[in-house]
Amino acid sequence: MTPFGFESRWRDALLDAMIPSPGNGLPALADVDRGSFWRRFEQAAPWTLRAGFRTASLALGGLAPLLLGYRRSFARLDAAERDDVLRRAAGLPGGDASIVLLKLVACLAYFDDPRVQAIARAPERA
Amino acid sequence: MSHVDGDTLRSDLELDADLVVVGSGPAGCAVAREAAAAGARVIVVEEGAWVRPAEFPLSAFGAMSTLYRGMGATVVLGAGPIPYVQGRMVGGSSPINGAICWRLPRDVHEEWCAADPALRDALPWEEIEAVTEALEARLGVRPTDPSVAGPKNLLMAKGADALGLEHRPIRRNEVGCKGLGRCMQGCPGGYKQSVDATLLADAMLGDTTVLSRVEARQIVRRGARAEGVVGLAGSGAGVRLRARRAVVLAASAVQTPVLLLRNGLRQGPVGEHFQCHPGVSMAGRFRDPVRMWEGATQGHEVTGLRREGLKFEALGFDLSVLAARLDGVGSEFARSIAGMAHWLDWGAAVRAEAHGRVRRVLGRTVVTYTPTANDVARFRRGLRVMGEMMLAAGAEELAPGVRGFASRVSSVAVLRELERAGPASVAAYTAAITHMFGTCRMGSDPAASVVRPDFRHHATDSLYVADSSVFPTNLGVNPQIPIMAMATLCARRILAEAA
Repeated sequence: MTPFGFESRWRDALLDAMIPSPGNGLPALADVDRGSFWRRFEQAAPWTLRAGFRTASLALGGLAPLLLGYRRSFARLDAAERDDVLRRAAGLPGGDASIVLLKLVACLAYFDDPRVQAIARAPERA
Repeated sequence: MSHVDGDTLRSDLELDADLVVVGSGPAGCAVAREAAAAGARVIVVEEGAWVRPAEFPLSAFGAMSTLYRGMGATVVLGAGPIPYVQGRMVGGSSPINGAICWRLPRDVHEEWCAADPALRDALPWEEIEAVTEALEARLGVRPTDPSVAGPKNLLMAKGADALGLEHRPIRRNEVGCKGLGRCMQGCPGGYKQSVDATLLADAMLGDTTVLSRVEARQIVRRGARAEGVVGLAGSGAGVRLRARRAVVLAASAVQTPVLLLRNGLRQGPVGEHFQCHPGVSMAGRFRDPVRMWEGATQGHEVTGLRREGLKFEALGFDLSVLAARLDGVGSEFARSIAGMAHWLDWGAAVRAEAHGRVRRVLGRTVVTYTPTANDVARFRRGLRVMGEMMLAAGAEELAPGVRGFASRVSSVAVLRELERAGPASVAAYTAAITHMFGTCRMGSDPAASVVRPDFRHHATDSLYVADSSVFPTNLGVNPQIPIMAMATLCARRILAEAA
């Protein structure tokens, strides 16, 4: 089932917040084009992963900000507030597993980008 | 010799052969090679695509989304969902495994024979050894060359020496490995001697046809005899394959029982006694860069605790899998990624005692499996010993990946506390499953086994199972060579029966 528009906004906002610019020449995940990634993810991921990720996105994108005292969805928070929600969400019931899943998907999307791979693998970064 | 890509089939296809083999992993390719060498006409049916080394992707996601079953994210359900990893391509998991080669341990063979004495005659140790030697020669099995090992492997040797643990360079099936660190995405140079490039290539020198992207769905039977396989090509065309001598299932310990169940072949404990090697990993940060993604993907192992059901291996991931293992979220996580070159990861594979089950529920494959308390205790012990090895090798801090426990550790005392009183729930551990066994176990008692000691289905003539689902137990070591050896014996028994 295709995600609703708000779900897509929430999941993209969550991924952007998971890997802000690492420095060391690496771009932020927000600067990586994820169109191809999401198309292949929807095609290849098993139903268990798609369902789990969708649940995690809804929990972290909608519920977690409310439970942590914000009155807006994750996509409407500023960078510092997003960082705060991600850090504290692990302490919420089920939050830890949601964070682990979000992190995995963020890393798959990030390092699927050839530019990120090239920068990360460059010998001079050692 | 021929290859038909099911995505290109424009009309229905009907073929005849002596043997129809379902699955092209180590078992299926070994059966095909042995049968073709004896002059049999063989058809190998594979659900996945035939992907050549030049097409192997660089990124983990690229590989997972094209070469792995369910994107490598299929999970067993139980106390904690744990991913199990399988290839879905011509060659099965062989093109995307770590190329680790072990022989069937003698003590495991003895366990099998002690539990069912009929196996001593059916699976003679001398024959297994002779077949194994020939397979190792064909696959170029050799210890990892230190010149391509890279820091992650050499540091494991240093840590094991410090703790007085037996260790060695991993014996791998490769020729000319350059240490590209891309075994898990498929070796782009074709240096890994995976079964598609070796055993299947040998089979195709004889009268063997490979059908890729064709899913086997139905085992055609007449009375109590298997006569063929009906499949569906990726293009939607129907495929009907007649087997004059035998239908051989070699689709893995998950897919083979599912195919049997789907066809109403509920003989014995089909789908039960699922066993595997769950593993946990310890990450460590070193002062100098170790660049874990470089060097032989898995080039060193610690064997000193094998009798305790533990074996340690250096791991080699793509950047994304290593990064996901690092600590923190948001800005803290980004800093971890910036320093990723200093982190490496070692894994502990556990010979777990737990048994699970493979079923079909509402048309989906469901694997249920929960490691026992003893298995989780082995997780903790493995993490403690690997952590001590890492600290002895120079790691400045460790990330055990255990939820509900310290996320960063730098002292032996804390590691010992983890072993003594770490979380008891499997859900707390960052675990993954490889190597699956036992779901169509072999034996002489039809009530307690699915196939006979000669690999033949107890209730259906001309139907054989050749993959690791026939293994009575798990092995505690990497099984690709034992799978090929056992499958070669299966082919010999089929040919002998036909003669």
